[in-house]
Amino acid sequence: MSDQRMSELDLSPVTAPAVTPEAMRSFVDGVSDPNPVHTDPEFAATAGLPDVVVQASHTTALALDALIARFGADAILNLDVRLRGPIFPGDEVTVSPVSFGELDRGVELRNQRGDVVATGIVVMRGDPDE
Amino acid sequence: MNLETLGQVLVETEVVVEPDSVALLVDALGTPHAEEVALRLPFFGPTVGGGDSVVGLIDLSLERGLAGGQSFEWHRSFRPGERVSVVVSVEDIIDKGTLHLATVLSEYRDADGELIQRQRTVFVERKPADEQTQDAAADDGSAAGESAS
Repeated sequence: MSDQRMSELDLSPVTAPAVTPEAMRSFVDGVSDPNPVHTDPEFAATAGLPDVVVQASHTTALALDALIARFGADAILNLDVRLRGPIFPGDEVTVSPVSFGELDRGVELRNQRGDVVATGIVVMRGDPDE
Repeated sequence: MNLETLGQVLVETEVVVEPDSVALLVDALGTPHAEEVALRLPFFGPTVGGGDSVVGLIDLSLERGLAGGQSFEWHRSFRPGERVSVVVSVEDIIDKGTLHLATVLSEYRDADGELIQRQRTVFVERKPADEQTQDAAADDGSAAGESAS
């Protein structure tokens, strides 16, 4: 991707709708993940968590949704997400492109309190390492 | 966690991209691009074989373990209703201080054998307290000091 095209990219943050308990349940049902840490607060407590937490692919989906909104689905080839902290029911996650250079394209996901909950590395069509 | 599962194929099966499941993911996201997202990740490799097909075989404790990361290599999106083959294997599984780390790889191919997607999920499991104590004793009391947060 040329410098000119890079300068044309919209790199503004994208805030996803708040993650509701219903949305969390729909997601785990959609991917058939029976882990109760995503649906049962009592089980989450046994794992040392204050509440149920968003499923891993759900977090990835929040990042991917923001990337597709900005760049289109065909542009996104690879996404490597590191989960840095839990996302809880009611959290609003904002996805921001960071270090979005020619060789290093990163995204950062923060909750409404400003905590980093995940980071990601993106490979886009036309990148040198595509 | 069972470190002996390194390199093992845990699941080899066929699955269908169920429109009802895709619809659940779309509902969960509730955004204009939700369907495009859902067709990039309609399956979770560690559960695509059903229930505890992976968690049970690698002996991952759900009380002490969490997903630490996930990566996707997309060759194309899935198509609603299509039948795909999937192979799930343990790409890496290691003992690291107070933790066990496992990377579960799932590869999805269409009826022609063409790769649709590679998906990796990294699980992080805290060792049981008694195992950590044994490790600390073996290290002359110098604990590794990592956290599974």
